[in-house]
Amino acid sequence: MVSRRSLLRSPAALAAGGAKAQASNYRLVRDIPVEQGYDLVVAGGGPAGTAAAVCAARLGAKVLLVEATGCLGGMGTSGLVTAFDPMANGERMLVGGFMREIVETLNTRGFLPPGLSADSWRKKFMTWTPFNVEGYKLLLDELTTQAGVEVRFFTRVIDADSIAGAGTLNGVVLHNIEGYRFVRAKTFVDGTGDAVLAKLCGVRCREAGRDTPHIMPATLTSLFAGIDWERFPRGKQYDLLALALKDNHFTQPDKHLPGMSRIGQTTGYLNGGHMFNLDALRCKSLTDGIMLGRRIAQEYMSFYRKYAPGCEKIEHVTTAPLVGVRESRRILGEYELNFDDYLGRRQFPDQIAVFNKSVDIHPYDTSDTEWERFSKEYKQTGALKSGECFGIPYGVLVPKGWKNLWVAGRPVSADVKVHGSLRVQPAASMMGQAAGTAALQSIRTGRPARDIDTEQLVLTLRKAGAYLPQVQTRKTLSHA
Amino acid sequence: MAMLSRRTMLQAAGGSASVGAALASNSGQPAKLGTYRLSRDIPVEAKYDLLVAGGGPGGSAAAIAAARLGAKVLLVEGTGCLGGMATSGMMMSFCPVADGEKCLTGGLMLEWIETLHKRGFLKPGIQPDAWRKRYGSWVPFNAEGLKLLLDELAVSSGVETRFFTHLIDADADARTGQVRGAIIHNIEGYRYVKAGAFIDATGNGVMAKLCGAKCRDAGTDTPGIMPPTLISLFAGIDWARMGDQQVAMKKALAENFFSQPDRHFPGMQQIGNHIGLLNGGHLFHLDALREKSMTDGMMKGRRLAQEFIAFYRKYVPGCENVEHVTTAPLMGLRESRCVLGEYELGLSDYNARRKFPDQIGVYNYPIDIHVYDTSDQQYARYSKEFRETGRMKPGESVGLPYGMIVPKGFKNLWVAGRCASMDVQVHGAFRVQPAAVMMGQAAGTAAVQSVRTKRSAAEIDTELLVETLRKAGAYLPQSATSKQMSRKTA
Repeated sequence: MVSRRSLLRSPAALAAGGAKAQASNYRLVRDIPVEQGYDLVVAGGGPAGTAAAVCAARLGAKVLLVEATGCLGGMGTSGLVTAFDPMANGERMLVGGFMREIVETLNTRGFLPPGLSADSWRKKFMTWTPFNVEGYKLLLDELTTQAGVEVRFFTRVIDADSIAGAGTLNGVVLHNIEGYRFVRAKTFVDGTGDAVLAKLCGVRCREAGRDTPHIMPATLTSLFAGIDWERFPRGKQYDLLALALKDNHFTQPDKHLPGMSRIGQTTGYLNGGHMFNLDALRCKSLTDGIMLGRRIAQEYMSFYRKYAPGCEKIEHVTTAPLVGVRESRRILGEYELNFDDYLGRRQFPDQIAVFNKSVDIHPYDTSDTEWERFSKEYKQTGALKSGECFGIPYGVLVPKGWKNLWVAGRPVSADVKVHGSLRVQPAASMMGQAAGTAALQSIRTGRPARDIDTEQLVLTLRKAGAYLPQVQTRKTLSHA
Repeated sequence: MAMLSRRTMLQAAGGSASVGAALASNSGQPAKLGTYRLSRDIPVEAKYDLLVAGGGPGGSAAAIAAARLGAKVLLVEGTGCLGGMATSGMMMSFCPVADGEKCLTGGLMLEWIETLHKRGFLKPGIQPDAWRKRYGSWVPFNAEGLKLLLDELAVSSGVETRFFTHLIDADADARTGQVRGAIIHNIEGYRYVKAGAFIDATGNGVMAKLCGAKCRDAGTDTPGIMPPTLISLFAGIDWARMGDQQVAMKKALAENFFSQPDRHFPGMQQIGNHIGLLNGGHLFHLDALREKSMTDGMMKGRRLAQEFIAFYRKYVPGCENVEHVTTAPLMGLRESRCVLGEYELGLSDYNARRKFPDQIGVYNYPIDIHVYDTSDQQYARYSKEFRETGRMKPGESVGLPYGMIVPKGFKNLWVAGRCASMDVQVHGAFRVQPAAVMMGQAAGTAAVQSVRTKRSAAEIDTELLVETLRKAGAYLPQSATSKQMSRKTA
């Protein structure tokens, strides 16, 4: 961020193309090539964006998927969060459609951990499903290609041309090794995780740490090798952590440790260590944060070597290319899903998914108070019971007042508590599938995002395998 | 302020920013037909002496070297770590740096290796002779160790690093050779960065091209593109029992195991007790300057990696239980663009083991132009070049003249790394990390000298440059120095 002082010191405008910019600004003027003909442009190829793109393309849409890294999967691949959050509720699988297809295919192909029971994702309550990151990357490459999605890696959405008053997005400006492109499309899905596109369009957003008191901390996950899983103390990582904290092993006494999960014969991924107060919307905070994350990862490696049986000879293979950001920006949508809805296990006629993960807002700092707040919320006050679920209504995906823009993934319209539940990959995938499906329906019926027939949307999603148990459907979206 | 101006522009542009339509308010001229006029007022930052684009081996070295000399440096990196091919590309092994008698690289490259050694981040059991003396000896390392070290050196020298930040445009006058500013973009939007000096360490000559420097694009201006490789990390290797990989490859090829019969196979290198990096599988004709080629190439690279894991499990003793941990986040590019510099280092210089009064490094890596396709002719060409005609003997080396990092005609722009000025053959030798680090250190040092002495890149006192580099530990054995740089352009 430029400080006020440096702005004042900076010289008068440097003109380009004969144009004059206002003082202390530079006017960038470029005539850039235009591409058109797309039904849908999806910004971001994480779990939500990839689902949106594939599902829309399968319904016949011409789709461009723009991804900044060199692979699809987002937090699941580049973020090395190589485990899907719980997808069943103790009785049945809540997650259908594209997400279910992914996990079942990974299982068929041998990319889930050795010996993992299918009940882990089909039935069990609050059970994670770890996976091999390469298998997931390959599968998403394959599914996008088969569906006819045009993927552009190493490409970023840097700007947008929209009419905020009318709620219309005309096109996006992309940038990659070939320079700028202006891409027009009929519809757009923001799957950036940080609501980057929505913000560029002027959608009303809440930013963690500015519009809320706190930011949920981020983690830089790591891959480890050389683990003897037979001897690994399953379910006892918190006991070991308590010992290490007593020994002052860590530079920060972080009581919260999601821990090491098995992904292969001798390999595992570690979700451990928090970067408190990291603001993913500030470059300096991200830069400092990822450096801190790498230092913290070294402490966790020595922690496991010293305290955990079976880990005496583990090797740290790599930290993730991307920071595991949990919270940054949330849009204000046509419906804001709130904690009362969650506690009421509320179902909606227009719900596009059901889910049951606990409110999982990691402690904001290392204090006892925060640890207690987190534990209580995660295990009691913000936890659903076996057999239960809450509905995710269509309106959380639709930025308030926007006609051809949807948001999918963790920046959808939810309050801080509900965000703490549905910020994870399976929910993102379901929301992405719904956004892509809705976008196509909007094009075909000529109706804007908020006015599409949500009964038809639910039918289409059900046909594509979504589990949507609502008995009552309705032709209009729920508002709040 | 940024948001305010953005809002204003959005309103101004609004729906009228249409294809090919005139937007007189922006520049007084209509947009070109079939184009869209992007017009934004963006915040200016003007506190830096030097902007370095790209934090790979060349860029990191440039930034650290310049900051240590007191410059205010901004280092802009697209990924979330420094090291480039060494870290994000997972090419976790430095090419040989000694000539059988002594280490040819001093300065930052030697400092990095020695520090990684001290901290236990080099291959288990490796002896210092591997980099201090032995000929043709690789130096494998743990990438996390290098990431941490570069974080630390950047911070301790006072470099301001911005991760997840891309150079997207430049404001330069190719006729006068003056670069005024760079336009960068990240989560916070656009910034215009004004600086006294600029270093292009993007690997692809991105900034030099944007500034209008003359460039040579592989495959467009040359007949072929050296193929890249998507590197992988493997775990569960029993290194004590590791079999002969080349013998195994011959057998597998004879049995038509691979989808492409690629005989050129650098192979798996040990980096830890049970882990290794695989440099195997080529993506032929991949053009790193074309987005579609890169996207298709990444996908293909991941499929090739699966064939290699199956190959190792089936054919190589000690690898029966290997696990494929991950492919690299970045493509392991070998060739894309070279900038035409004040001196183009050519094969005749290489063959003559030429030394220069203004050389900023000496090196001896062989001409290592991977096969352009899977034909017998290519394999024969490559083998002969790499093993015989393009290989220096122990004790030999060639100089890297300063002019190869100065884009021709530019006053305050340098390039470092594989996009420096070299012909195709020499590029095949000096495209690698140790050479990039030496060039980067020289570029950073030259940029500071240029800013301080107010002399342009081509006119700085190269005797002083050599002296400063020597003080910083560079090995520069030339007995005669010169105040002026050597020039030669093909």
